[in-house]
Amino acid sequence: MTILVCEDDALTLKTVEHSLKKNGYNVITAPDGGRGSEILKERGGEVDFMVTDHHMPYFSGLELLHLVRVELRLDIPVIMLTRVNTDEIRKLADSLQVDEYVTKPFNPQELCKKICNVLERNGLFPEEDIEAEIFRPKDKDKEHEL
Amino acid sequence: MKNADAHTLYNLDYLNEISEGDTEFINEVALLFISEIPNKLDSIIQHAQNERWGEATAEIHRITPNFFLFGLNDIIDKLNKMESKLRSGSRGRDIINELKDVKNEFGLIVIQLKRDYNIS
Repeated sequence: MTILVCEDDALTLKTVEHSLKKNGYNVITAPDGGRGSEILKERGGEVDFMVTDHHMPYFSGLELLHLVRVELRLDIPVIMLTRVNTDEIRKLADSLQVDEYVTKPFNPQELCKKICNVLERNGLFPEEDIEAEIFRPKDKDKEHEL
Repeated sequence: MKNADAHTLYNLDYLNEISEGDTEFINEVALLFISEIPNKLDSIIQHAQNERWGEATAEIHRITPNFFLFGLNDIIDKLNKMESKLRSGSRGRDIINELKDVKNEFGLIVIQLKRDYNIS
C-alpha cells in the first residue's frame, strides 16, 4: 500500500511520513501541491491512497482532489489534513468526494485509524498489512474472531 | 533528551509518543524545527511590519501546529490569540510587539535545543 503525502510544512510532512512508515505503509512525499500534482500525473498508478494538506502553494489540496477525481480519474481514497475545517472548504471537498478529514495538529493514531476505516469502507483493506491491523475498529476484530 | 534540567522550556511527550522514543527521529525533527521556525517567524513579522495582515494571519495559522511537537503550549496560546485578534480586525504595533515577544521566547528554546542536541 503506497500513500502519497502532500504537505508543504516540513515538520508535519516528516511526522506524517514517520507515522505511516512505522505502520507499514510505503510513503511518497511531496513538499508542495505542485510536486504532488506532478507525481500524480507521472506515477499515479503507483499511488493507492493520498493524504494532502489543503493550504499549499502552487496547488491547493482541493485542486489536487480535483486533479485526482476529475482530470486523472484515479480511483484512490483521499484524506485531507486541515487546521480548521471551514464550511466552505468542506463543502467543496465533499463535492469532490473527499473520504475523510484529519485536523492539525494531527494525532498519528487517529490518522492511521482513519486510513484503515477509509480502506475498509472502500473494500481496500490489505489483508497482509499486519502492522496496520491494530488500527482496525474493534467491532471488525470481533467479526474476524467469529 | 540530553542534559535535561528543571528549567527545560520544552517537552518531548508528543514526539516520544508518536515515535515510541525513536531518538534518531526526534533529533531530525529538532534540527528541522530550529532551522525552519525562525525564518517563518521572521517572515510573519515582516508581513506585519509591511501591513500585509492577511499574509501574516495565514502564516500564523499555518505555523502554530508546529509548536505542538515540542509541547510549547504557551507559544500556541499566544499565536492563537494573535490570530483571533487579527481575524477580528486588530492591526498595528501591539501585534508586531507580540510577534517579537514570541520570537524572543522561541530564541531561548532554540538555545536549549541546540545545547541538548549538540547542534551548532
